[in-house]
Amino acid sequence: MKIRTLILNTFKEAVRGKIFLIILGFSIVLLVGSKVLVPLSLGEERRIIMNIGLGSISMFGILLAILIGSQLVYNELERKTIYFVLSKPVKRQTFIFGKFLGLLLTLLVVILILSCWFYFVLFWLTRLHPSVLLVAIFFSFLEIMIITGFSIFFSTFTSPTLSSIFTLFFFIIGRLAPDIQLLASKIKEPVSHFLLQIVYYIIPNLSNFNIRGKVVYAEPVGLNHILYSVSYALIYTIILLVLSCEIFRRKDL
Amino acid sequence: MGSESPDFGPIFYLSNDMHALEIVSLSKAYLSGFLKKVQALQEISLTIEEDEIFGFLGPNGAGKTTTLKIVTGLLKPTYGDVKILGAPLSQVNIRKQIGFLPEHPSYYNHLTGFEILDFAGGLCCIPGFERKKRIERLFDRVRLKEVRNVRVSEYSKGMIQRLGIAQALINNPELVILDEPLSGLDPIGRKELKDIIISLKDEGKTVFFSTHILADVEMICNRVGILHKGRLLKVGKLNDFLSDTKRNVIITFEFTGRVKPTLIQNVNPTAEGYLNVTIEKEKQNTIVKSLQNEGASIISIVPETITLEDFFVAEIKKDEN
Repeated sequence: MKIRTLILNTFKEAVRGKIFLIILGFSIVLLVGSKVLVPLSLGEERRIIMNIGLGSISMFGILLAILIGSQLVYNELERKTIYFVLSKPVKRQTFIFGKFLGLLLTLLVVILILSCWFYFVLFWLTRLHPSVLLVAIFFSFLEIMIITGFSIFFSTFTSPTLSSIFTLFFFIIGRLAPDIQLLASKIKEPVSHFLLQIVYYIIPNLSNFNIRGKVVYAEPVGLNHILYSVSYALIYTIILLVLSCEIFRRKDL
Repeated sequence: MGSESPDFGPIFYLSNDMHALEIVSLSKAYLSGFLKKVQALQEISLTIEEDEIFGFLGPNGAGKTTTLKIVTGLLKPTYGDVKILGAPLSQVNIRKQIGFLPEHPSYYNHLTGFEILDFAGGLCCIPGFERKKRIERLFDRVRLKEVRNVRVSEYSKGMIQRLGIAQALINNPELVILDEPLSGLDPIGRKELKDIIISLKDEGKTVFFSTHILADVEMICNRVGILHKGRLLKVGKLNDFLSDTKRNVIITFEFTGRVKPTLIQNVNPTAEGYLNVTIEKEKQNTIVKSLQNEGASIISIVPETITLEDFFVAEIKKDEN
């Protein structure tokens, strides 16, 4: 019951916040913008709309995860609402997991709304509604889940601005993970090679979750890839949450 | 992962020597900057019995809030032990028996008063139906029924404080801990809150509250503790403290000539045009006789009334010296 209470409160807080409405409105406008680009697409309208739609769902999900996530724990400390919550019979790890799941629920709802709107725009302009796009959206959600984990993790010990910057850094470097691996393989100098390998294994390999190109070009996505990506996202997120709980547990409030 | 124990449901601690709150050798040190260590609490030991109102007094920065935060699990002590109703603080479930009102409470601005209490009840695992009944009763008790569906961002300071009391009572706690509950309230708000605190005692609850407004303590507390610079200077019954100090008398007299300076000093004029002097009770007869010999007429002789404020200031000064 406690965690459900925390989840619902986090969800309400995000939904009633202006940031949510601004980004939701903006993303809807962007999807509508694909109608404007169709006349310039020279017969590729289907792929253009799919790319814009899937890309914007992913980007706005990531943006929301960073903006809301980086403030979640910090704001509780800053506004002192944490005293009200943690003086009740609530463990600190329950609080962190509740906050995380509440934000994840928010993002899930946002993605569902954006996806419905995306399918509507796609059907309206091309008369197509391929279900394979849902797999790409699901993969975006897994990526967003990891980024939410990062933003909550940084939020336990730093300000929202720094937390946003650090999370954004991990997002960018995570998307570049294959390039880092490639660079490591090309460098012969042992220390640099070793360090790059370490970086590669520590950072999240977010390229696993980018299958937008595949689904737009109707290439198949293997079951192994799906299972591997789901496991990877879950394990990585759980590690981030456990670290967050440990930092938060030691914190004097 | 944590040191907190698992949630095993209701707790019952039965013991003859059980106290509502037991603090043993509690110390807390902070790091201020990189190297400087600040000792916020030094070896505090305190026992609060069930069914009493205990006032925790001290000037700003004495360590009152630090103590209350440790008791509610928000801060970890550097050293020492805290037991609530016989249970160690590490038992998260023991907080079901605590209601806490923080200093300058702040609640989620996106929620209404009703939603705040519903949220608090949810965190205490109170089932939905029972929760709603309690919320209605509490809104009646703290007189916020009219604004129950208004967002707390629109509440006044007094309303926020009353909502704070309501959320602290949602779980029907045995021990109610209030951090500066009366500060910043207007006289009516203070009276209402004091009445609520007194009614809690009537219901058999223990109240542990911190304040630096001494007039309020005199009216509602059974016992007090005085904290200064992280050290507990005195703990005891208010009457005992004040009766100990009632050793002086104030003699008011009328005198047209000069009072011999060698006989008595510190003579003060009164608003009525008399003179008065405060002396030790043992010297009363000698001084009265001397005054009468000098031609003074005695108007009154009354024992000096020591207020808690006088006592408090004297204790703090004694400690500083």
